[in-house]
Amino acid sequence: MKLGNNIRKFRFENNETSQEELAAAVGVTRQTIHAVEKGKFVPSTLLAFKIARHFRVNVEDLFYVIENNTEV
Amino acid sequence: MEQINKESKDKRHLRTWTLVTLVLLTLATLWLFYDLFAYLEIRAKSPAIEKMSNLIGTGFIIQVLLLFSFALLILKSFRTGFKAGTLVITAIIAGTVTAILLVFDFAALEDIGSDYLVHGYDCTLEWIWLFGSLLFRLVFYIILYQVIFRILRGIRGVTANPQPVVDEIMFEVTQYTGMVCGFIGLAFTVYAYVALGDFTINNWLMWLLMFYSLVIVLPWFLLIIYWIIRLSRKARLTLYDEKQKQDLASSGLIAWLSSIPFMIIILITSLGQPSSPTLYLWFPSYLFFTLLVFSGSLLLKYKRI
Repeated sequence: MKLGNNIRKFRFENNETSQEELAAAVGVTRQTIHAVEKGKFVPSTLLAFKIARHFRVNVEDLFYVIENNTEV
Repeated sequence: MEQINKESKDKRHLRTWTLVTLVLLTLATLWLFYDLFAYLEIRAKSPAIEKMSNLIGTGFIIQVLLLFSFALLILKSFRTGFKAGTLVITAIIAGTVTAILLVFDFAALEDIGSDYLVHGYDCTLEWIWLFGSLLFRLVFYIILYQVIFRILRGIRGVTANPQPVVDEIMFEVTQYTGMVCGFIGLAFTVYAYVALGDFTINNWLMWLLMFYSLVIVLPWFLLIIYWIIRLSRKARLTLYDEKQKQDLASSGLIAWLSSIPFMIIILITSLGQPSSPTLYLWFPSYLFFTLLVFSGSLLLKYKRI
C-alpha cells in the first residue's frame, strides 16, 4: 500500500507554483515537498491538510491510496 | 518597493564582500608562492630564516582573514538567493579542511623550528605535511576564484526566493562540514594511535591532543552556534521540518548502532594496556566516528529522492 498524490498537478494548475514557494507556504523544506511529490515520504496529517488548504482543495483530492497497484 | 530596495542593498553588500574576498584571496595566493619559496629556503637552512619566519606569520593572519571573509561571503550569497551547487559545496569542504590544516601547519613549523633548525633532527614528515598543505591550499584557492567569479557574474540575475521557514542550505552545509570534520578527526585519532603506540601520555600532550581535537570539530561547532543564533533572531524560522526529523532519528540510530562495534574494537585494542593513548583518545575517536556516520547518513537520506 502506497500514498499517491496530485501535488504536481495542482502546483501547475496554480500559476505553476514552484516547490520552493509551496515549501515556504506550508513551512517545510523544498526537499520535503519533492520527497512527498515523488511518494518517497509520507507526510503527517497536519502537513497534508496544510498543502490541501494551500491549494483550496480537500485532502482526498490531493492524496489517494495505491493498493496493489490499484488506485483507491 | 521596500522589497526591491532591500534586494538591491543585499546585492550591493554581496558585491562589496565578494571584492573584499577577492583582494584577500589574491594576497593569500601571492603568499602561497612566498611560503613555497620560504619553506625551500628554511629547508636549505638559509641565513635569512628569521625574516622569513615573520613573513610566514603574517601570511597566517591573511589566511585567517580570508577564511572568515569566505565564510561570510558564502552566508551572504545564500541569503541573497544563490543556491548551494556542487562548486560551492566543494569550496565549503575545501575551506573547512584548509582552516583545520592551518593549525597543523603552525604545529609542523614549530617542530621544524625546534627539532630541525636547532637540534638538526630529521623532519621529513613535517616537510611532507607542509608541502602537501600548500598544494591543498592552491586547490582551494583555485576553487574559490571560480566561486567568486560565478558570484560576481550572477549577482545581477539572481532573484530572492520566498523566505524559507526551515533553513535548508544551512542544514546541508552543516552535514557536509560534519562529514569533513568527522573524517579529518578520525584520521587524526588513528594517526595519533599509531604514532603514539605505548607512549605514556603526560599532561601537556593530553592537552595538546584535546586542543587539536577541538580545532578539528570547531568548524562544525561554529555552524551549529550560528544556526542557533539565527533561529533565536527569527521567530518565523524553525529548526527542522518533519522529514528532516525522521531522517535525523534514523541517522541517529545508524550512528549509535555503528558506534557499538567501533567501541568494541577500541576496547579490544586497549585491553591490557592501561597506560596506552586509548585512555585519552577513545572519546575524540568516538566523537569523530559518530559525527562522520551521523552527518554522512543524514545527508544521504535527505538527498536520496
